[in-house]
Amino acid sequence: MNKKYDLEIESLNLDQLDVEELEHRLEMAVANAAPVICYSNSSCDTKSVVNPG
Amino acid sequence: MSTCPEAFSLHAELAAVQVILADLQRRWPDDIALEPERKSDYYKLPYLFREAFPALAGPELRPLAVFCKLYAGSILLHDQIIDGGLVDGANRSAITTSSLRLMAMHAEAYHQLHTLFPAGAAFWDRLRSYVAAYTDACLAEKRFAAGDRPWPEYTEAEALRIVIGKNGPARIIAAAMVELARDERMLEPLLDVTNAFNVATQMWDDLQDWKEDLRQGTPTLLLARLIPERPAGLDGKAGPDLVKQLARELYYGGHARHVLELVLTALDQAEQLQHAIPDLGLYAVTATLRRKCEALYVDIERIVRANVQRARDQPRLALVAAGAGAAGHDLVSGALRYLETQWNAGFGEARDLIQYPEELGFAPAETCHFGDVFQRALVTDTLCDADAVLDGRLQPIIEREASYLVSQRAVSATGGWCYYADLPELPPDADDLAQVMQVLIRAGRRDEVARHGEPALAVLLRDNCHPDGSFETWIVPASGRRTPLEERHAKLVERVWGVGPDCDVIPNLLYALHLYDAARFADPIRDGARYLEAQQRADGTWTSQWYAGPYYAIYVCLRMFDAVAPASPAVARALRALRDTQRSDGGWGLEGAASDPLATALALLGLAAGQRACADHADPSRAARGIEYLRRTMESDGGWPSHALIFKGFGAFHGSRTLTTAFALKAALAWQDRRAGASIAVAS
Repeated sequence: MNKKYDLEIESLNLDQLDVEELEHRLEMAVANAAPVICYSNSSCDTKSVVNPG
Repeated sequence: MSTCPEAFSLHAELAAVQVILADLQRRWPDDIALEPERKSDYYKLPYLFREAFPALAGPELRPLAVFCKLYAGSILLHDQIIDGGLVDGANRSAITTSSLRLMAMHAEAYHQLHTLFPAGAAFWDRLRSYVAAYTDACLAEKRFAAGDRPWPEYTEAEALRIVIGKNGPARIIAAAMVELARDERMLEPLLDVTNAFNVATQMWDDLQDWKEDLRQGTPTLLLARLIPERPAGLDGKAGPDLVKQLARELYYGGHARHVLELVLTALDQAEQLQHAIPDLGLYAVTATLRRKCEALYVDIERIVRANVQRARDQPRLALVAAGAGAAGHDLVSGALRYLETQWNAGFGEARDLIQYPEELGFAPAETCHFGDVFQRALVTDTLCDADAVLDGRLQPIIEREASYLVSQRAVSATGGWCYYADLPELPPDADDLAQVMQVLIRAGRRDEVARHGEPALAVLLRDNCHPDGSFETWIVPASGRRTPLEERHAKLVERVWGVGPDCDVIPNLLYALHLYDAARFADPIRDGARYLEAQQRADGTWTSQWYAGPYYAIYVCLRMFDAVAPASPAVARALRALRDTQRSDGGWGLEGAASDPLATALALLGLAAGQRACADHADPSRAARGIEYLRRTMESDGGWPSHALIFKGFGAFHGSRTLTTAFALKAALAWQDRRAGASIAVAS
């Protein structure tokens, strides 16, 4: 992990940092991922291919 | 083994596999479905390896493809059973049916293999070892999930061992194809490739499903990095906060990035045969996954760094409510508190994200575009309303937001603002122009409207207006005046973005023009207002192209008419539409849906805008009931739920808690006694 990056975070209150956009971005990646090969995890669901969401 | 491979068609092969499955299905009871419910590229695995065995023809692989679909489908079904997904008080018979389906799928799957491999073939020993390894990996995973083994022992090495163990099905396919082709040379390389690919997909899956895994107590490499012990207390009141805390750690602690790096490293390994077998079908799948990971990685890094920078550099705002209890005050102070939180966090919650299909010819499909200009302009407009009540104490925020909006202007001769500032294919539009103009005017920055807004306004009024007083939403110069990018804009407006004037955009710009310079723009304002009068429907509403439901369009039209033509007959009709659709709970809502705070706020704003021209004695009571509905639906953090507002195309709408809250606050301020605002203190 980038050391400079760590020090910046350490001096901040994590509660101040937004996660909504990050979570939304991850949801976009999930929603638009083709159902690749996910046989080994039962919680892997089929998602729609085109979902600007 | 065929010596003359026929022309191969994956589509034809998959269709043939389905025919075989359908024939097998006829031999089983109806409830024993052999077809897996879940789709997966995994079912095509024999075809993804085909290029490693060029002597094998497509039809030779069909029994293997049937096996693959049945076996992989049975594993997905099996996972559902052992993870308890089917344990439901009302549906326990599903377990019996599913267990019997497993038996049937296995029976038919192994029967396919028996048609290919005689009893003494080396393949069978390999199959046994791979299935045994699979069961061992599943048991190891379950011991952690059940708490029989402590989470600290779920190291990265152990996680990868389990993932590779669970790669049994792909190993079986590799061994089967080696046996069919009688080419032992490919076994170890293919096993390496499939193991690595399984690691990549499992890591990707762990990132996607981390919350579900957390809820179920399923150990993963990612969760083991996030928390030292098996999670507890998720079902309690503190659960949501704990998940939020872990989410912050996931991104800002670098764990999401680490897992994505593992995916990419595993993909490097999976692609090791690319120099020898460049056309291996699997590589189309790995390439897609690689692009998704890389795009996600870049965006996570950028967002994290921007948020860290903001937390360091942006002054924090703290609103303290004093004298709570005044009528309407708790709603206003709560909403302000929520917007304060979002401003401190950089309005990430309000930001719109979109990915466009590759067929449109934009950036690769994995590229995500971000838009927050319109949203932040709407919020800042509300903050300007609040600032008037707070005697100017929100000026520091308004100033910074106005500067941000200016920074997001389109850098071109036409200028203006685009809904997704990072999407070059999107032209500037009249709605963003209107909203930003209003904020800059209210923030005392008319000079920046002149500098950055007037060029776009000039193009719109010169090239995008119609004789009926309407104008286009998209600002694109006329043919002969365009840059190459603007030529592209013009084509995309025809093909994708849509031509024609929009009744939910025109009033917003007319209002902005009125605020900016009513005399100078008297003609387009007058003509535009007349156009909107003519477009109003018999029920008092307008067609809304860009906004969910009728209330946004009604509000912006009424606001415009109140400013420029309060005597218009359109006002009375629109107000009647609002009055007639208020519900018994005091709220408003979209057709066929329950009342919602966003529709209610917009309706209240419309009602307020029409008071000067066409007040009704019952309007204060209507408004009071609407405000009371908003008060009841306000959440504990002072915000309201997200509801669909802005149409994004492809059938999707954007909404956010921030936008709903901004409109709710604006509505509350529009109807509230101004004296209540004096009791809200601001500190920074």
